Amino acid sequence: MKNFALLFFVATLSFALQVDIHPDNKITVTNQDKDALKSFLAKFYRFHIRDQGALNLVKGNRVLANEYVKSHQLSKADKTYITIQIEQYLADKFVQDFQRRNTISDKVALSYYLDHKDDFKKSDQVDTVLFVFNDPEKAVDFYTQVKGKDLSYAQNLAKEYNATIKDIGYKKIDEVKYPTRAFLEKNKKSNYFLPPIILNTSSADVLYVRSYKKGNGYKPFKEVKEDIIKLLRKKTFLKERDKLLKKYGVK
Amino acid sequence: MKNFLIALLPLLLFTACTPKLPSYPEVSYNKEIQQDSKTKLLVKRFLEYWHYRTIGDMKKAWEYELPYQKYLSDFKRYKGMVGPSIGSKTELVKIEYPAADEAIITRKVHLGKDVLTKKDKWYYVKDNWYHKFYQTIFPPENEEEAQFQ
Repeated sequence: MKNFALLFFVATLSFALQVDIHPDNKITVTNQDKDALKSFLAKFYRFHIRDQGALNLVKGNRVLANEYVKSHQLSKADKTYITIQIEQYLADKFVQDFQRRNTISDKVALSYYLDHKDDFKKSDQVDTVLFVFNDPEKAVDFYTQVKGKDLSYAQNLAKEYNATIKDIGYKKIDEVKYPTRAFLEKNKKSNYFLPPIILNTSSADVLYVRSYKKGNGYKPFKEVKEDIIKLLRKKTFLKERDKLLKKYGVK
Repeated sequence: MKNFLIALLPLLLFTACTPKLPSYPEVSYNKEIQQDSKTKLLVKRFLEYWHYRTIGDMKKAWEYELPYQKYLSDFKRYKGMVGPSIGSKTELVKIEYPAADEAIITRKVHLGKDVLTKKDKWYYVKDNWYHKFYQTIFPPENEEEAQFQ
């Protein structure tokens, strides 16, 4: 027997997998085992190991596992856990295989783009300056004084409050975090201060909106093509999945 | 003679590239529509498409539908949700271009004594015009469906 343990997973008539594990007396390790461990560590732990290290690790694990199986019966929980892992692995394989079989041509993606152009409008852009305070009360006080005034007035006043000034510059509106984004999108105007956003008890921000530019036109197809392909793949995959769930009587 | 042929070449090329419009008894078009090569190709696709829908050849009509719709659907489902238009006569009235690659066609559908005005949405994808289909079995779910069904 090549491996320390025989691991059976059998698709029965009810399509469930059954796992059975037996110990082995002769411990052997193949290059395939080594490669499998290397790819497992790289994929799940982003850890890269040398060939000899991988061989030693597989061998060591195999000896320990074999010894454990010899002296302990695998519990039902152990078997279920192993089954779940195998199923997860096979389900991932299904997804990979499905994606490989479902190539999406440029023509398909482009036709989706043309028919959903409104979904690909260029983002609004916002040019801002941020005043950071280490005391929320000071931020509120500062805001009441600068409200309706211009940026240079606020920049001078900020020195008295020991506030840090960060010139953010232009950003796409979809890169701005909520709730700030919601306020900006609601107002859609330039040259004004947003009321302080209290982040926690020891800091608060006052944002000056230097300019708000509405996005004109559409993002080019090239820029969104990969997103469209992902979206179409997801749609077809979910359809396929639903079909299979129905076939297996799973709701 | 050689010069004459060279002078004639652009015209010959244009004629070769411009599709010839088919003629069907159940589908017609407004002859006053200005016909550059892209529009002529659209009219040709329209005439062919509605010819197949009218004679009930849904397999052929399926080939004219938008590529992404075909990718997301399948022919069996399509046949179940888009019915043929057997017994009707379709007339292309007007073409509008909201964008360079998008065309809205106004068409009249003659069904016995009734005349209905409907619209078609077509997109120019890479090298040809493709029709956007809407389900025709159930009442329209929104305004767009009501117009284009």
